[in-house]
Amino acid sequence: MNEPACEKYQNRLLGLIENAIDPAAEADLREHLEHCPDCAGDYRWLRAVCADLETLGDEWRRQAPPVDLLDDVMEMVARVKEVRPCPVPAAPVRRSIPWMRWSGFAGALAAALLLIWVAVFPTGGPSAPGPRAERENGRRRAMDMNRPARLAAKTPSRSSQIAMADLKKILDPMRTPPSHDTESAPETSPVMEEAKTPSLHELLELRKQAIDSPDARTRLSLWATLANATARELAKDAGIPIEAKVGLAGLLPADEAESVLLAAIESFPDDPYLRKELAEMYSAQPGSEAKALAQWQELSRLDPDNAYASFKMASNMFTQGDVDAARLAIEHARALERLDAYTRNAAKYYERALEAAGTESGAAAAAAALSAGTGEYAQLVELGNELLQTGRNIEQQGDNDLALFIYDAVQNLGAMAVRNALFSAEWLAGLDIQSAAITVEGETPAAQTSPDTLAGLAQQMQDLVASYNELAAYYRTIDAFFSGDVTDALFLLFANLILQNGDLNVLQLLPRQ
Amino acid sequence: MKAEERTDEVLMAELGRGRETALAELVRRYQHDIYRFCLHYLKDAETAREMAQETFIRVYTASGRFDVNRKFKPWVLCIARNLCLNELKRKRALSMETLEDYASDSRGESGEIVRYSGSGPDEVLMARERLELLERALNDLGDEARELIVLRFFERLPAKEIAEVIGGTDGAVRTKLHRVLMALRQQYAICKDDL
Repeated sequence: MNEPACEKYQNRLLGLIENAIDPAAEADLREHLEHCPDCAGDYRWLRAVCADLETLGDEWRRQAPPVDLLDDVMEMVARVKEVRPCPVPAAPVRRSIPWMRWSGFAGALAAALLLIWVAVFPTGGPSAPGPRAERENGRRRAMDMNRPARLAAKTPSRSSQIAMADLKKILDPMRTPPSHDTESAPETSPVMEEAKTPSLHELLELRKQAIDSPDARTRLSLWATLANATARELAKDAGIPIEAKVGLAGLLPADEAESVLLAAIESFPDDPYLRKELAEMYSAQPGSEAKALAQWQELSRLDPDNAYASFKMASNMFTQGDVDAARLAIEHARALERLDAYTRNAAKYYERALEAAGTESGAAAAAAALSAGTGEYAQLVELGNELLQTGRNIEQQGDNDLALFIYDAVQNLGAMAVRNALFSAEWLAGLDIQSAAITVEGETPAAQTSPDTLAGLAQQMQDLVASYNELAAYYRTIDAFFSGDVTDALFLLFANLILQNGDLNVLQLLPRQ
Repeated sequence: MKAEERTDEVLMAELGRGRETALAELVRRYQHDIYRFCLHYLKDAETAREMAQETFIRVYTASGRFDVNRKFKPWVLCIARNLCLNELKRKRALSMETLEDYASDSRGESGEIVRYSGSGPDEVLMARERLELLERALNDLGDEARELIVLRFFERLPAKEIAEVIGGTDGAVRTKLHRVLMALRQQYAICKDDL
């Protein structure tokens, strides 16, 4: 490049070669080239190299081997027509970041079915061939598969000591808290009425009360959740940093969330979390499947080892009737080891959003840490739900093999979510996904007519029960921690550790219950 | 009007209404382009063939959603590109084909590139040397830069259509391409010095 004034002309040189600039700009550029030897030299170089490259291209086109795809393509089209499923209903609009608003779909199903499976096999599961010791080893291995990798090395928990009734009592509130409308004013204590945003100390006190009080859980949920109207107001404020706006995106209407996320992507084009959020947002919008798919593909490019995008792509492709591509996407996902729902990123962005809304820094960290994983739980479970629904549709059309392939893939998705979990919410999502997939597979005619298959599924469900119990013990551990002498400083340390490492890592530091 | 006289976009509209003969015509028109394009990415003839087939299956399954105001070719190349990139990831083979391989395909039995056949012997020699230098320089470019070169000069797409394939605007494509070509100039000079 030559003079600063040459910059605008440089940018037009290729346009001139392509005949793609308007006549006035062309005349201006040609006049400049007459007086600027450097730009004229660059233009000559570009023209020459373009001509040479086109010559190389011509040669390549001429030498490329011939191909005849017509018969194969038409034959494949005939096969696709045979197996093409009915479109799956669009995913329900969701996305919010409430405290413990666990989606009830698989959770309630799993809890109910756990009881059924245990009732059917009350003495420790169905009989299976082989020596007892071998069965026990296999069972232990299966249990380890259903524990987050960071916990797998530890001794199995005292899960068997926890009764099923206790399990249901502990887990169900985690999934389905008392409903509330984030637009309406929260039911508040006198202290809360004075403070529009909670202090760290107030959050701590409420968390302690939440051990025994559903009402405290509700109020904690409301405190940790920004109202949609507040979020919209903040998102329009030019003084709010883009990171904070990203944390608000889940609370905004789709078009406003899209603007925020696109602006953030412009600033941070390589941040996979932003792509994921944009893709999730499009996925929830009927008619935006193509946009969603493009974003999932971009996420897959940015984070190629993460199976999450491939599972989502598969779901998207099934919805659009693209069965072969969906199958490939599932195979790709299953070949990967890692599944990341980006819970840490989401919590960090939400912390920034809370700060922007006026919450003091420590309280923002605490609220973000306590609610971390809520949205990701719902997203993971919804992904499992979408794929299972697709499997059911395909099964109804008679393609049982493909349906079983999908059910198996959903189980795999759940197992991957568990193995990779940094947060208890991800662990719970993985278990709920697996239990739903096992249940659906157990309802297939193939399973219903095969005692061996049913026995195998019952065994898998028993293993899940053990893992659910272990997770319940974890929740008790956290409650026990908060029933102790926790100071504000310790609470803040706890919150920051969760945000940095995930609550399951922090679990390692606490005495187990 | 016969199928071969209809535009790509008209054929897509017909395919969207369930007329599969339209797909057959599109396959005839573009199978070589798509296959060659996949070969750029995948290096392997069989995999490129599979991806090219898969591309047409996608065309079929997406035909109902195709916007007939869009141009067909960049749209179909975009599908092929995404499939190839996914395939590369799947195989953990992330590098694109080097242009060295294209060059070897482009050479005659003597191993030399045959071109400018209408020129005199000296001109042929000079042109050949220049092009060989250019190929060497191309091989040192990154994947993104090579992809731009392939789309612009091998597949002969204008900037506007390249933007439809890889995303962005035609202005952004020209700016990137300008940068790539100027980098090539430096690389070309280095290669020339090495000889």
